[in-house]
Amino acid sequence: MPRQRSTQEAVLEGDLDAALLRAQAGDEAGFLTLWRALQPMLLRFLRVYGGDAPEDVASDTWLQVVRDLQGFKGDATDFRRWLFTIARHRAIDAGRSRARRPLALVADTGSLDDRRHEPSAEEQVMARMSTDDALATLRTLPAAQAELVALRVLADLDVATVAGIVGSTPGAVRVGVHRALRTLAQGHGPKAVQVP
Amino acid sequence: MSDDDLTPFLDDPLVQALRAPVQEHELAGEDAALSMFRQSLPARRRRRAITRAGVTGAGIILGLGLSGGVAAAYTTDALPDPVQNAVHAALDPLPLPAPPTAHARHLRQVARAERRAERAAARVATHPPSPPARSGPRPSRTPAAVVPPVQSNTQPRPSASPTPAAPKPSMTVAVSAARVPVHGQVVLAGRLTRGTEPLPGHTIYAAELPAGESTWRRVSSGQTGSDGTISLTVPPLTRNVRLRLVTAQGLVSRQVAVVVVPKLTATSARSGNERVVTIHADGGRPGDELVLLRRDGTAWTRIASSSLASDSTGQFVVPGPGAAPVHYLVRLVATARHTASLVQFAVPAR
Repeated sequence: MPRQRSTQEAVLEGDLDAALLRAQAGDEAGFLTLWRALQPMLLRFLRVYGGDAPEDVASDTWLQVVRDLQGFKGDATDFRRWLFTIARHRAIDAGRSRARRPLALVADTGSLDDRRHEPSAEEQVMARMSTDDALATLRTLPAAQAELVALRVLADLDVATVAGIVGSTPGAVRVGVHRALRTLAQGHGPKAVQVP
Repeated sequence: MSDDDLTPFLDDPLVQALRAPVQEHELAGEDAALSMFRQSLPARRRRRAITRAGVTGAGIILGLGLSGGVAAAYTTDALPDPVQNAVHAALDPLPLPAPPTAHARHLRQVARAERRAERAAARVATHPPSPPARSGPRPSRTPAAVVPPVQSNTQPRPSASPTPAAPKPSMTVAVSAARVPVHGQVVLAGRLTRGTEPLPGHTIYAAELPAGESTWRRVSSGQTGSDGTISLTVPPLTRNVRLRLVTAQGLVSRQVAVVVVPKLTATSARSGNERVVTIHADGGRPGDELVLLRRDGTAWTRIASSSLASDSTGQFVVPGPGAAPVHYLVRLVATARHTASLVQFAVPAR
């Protein structure tokens, strides 16, 4: 089966290089092209890896990008790797910050409602698995495995790039992604939920 | 990127869902991003303007020389741009921002890349299709994947060769969201055409089939505009539905499914050393199952279940504050009428 690509990806594969150059030259349209192409993937990645405030982490990521954009050297592929490396660092920072915050018994106001749910058989008949469902399922994996899948499948980075980002080897990344996807395919997650 | 290593999984619904087309809400925040970008611009624009002065800048740099102070100021963007030009030339091997002297080359690269992009864009199907860039014969290309409006079942598939027969009317449909919070609304948009000709002034109905029912009912209506398009808002949804557009003459679009996410809220009350947590499920029904899970390390352990009472609430009793905070999650199990929903809470440490 041919790989499915979104509209943005299909359109932008050909012009992300141009958009990058234009953005570096100060062109707003160029920047928006980059942002529209990569922000959705970035958000999906951060919804797996970025804790409870993926939008904030994404915003921090772009802030650093626009600040350092002119000094960036490379093509669109390099830019994608740069973007997700920054996002990963910002997410780690955000996680440390969260860990220092006091916890309280509070009712969630609904921010999780749209993020974490599992599809019923009825839904799978009515509609394909949604991206939200898939992201929720991905979060049931151990963090290291979820990160590999997020970078390889969501961020669409190649194996070698993922290995560089997480400090592993391409072989280990390939095996890790396969193992994770096989686990998910066999039953939507490892033994995250156990009946006592 | 090569997908060779993912080939065994490309049919997996999960992988497909992870790579699903972009949803509108994922592009929220564009204005803020653009604002950030604009704020980063002035320095670059100033530099480009001065670069055009060219020779004058080169003269200035001869007078200034390359002192350590100049080199340091270079890294802070504090020097006049012509000075930076020359410093860049001297420090080019260093991983510093691209020098303005490369600007002309950069613009040429932009132009070349834009031309490549235009050629790439021409290969991507858009609607309406863009006219060919040149009149001579060109090898046909298969349009790249786009997100097409959902086609009516009655619409003939596009053919590579012209079809002389008069086409039948057809109606596309798209829904603004496939998943909405309870009481949320969606908009059904469609276009009524005969071949490529829009059909304006036709009455179109939005029809819904709620989960658990077997009869379609019309919920809103309107007339197609001059371009044949129609946009109808569906009343607030409280359970899963299938939706479609219907013409007065009986032409029916394809169905689209929308699932409803109940809203869970949690409140707590002290009861001795314990906490009584009450879950209210807006969009749930009496008898729906609630599951309480506790986070143990990286795993969630199911520790109790309950069901919604007639007032759409359920209760759990959890231990009060202990030596460490404890995280809990309550899940409303999906039914045919709604999708699953979650609410999280934590009992803090003493």
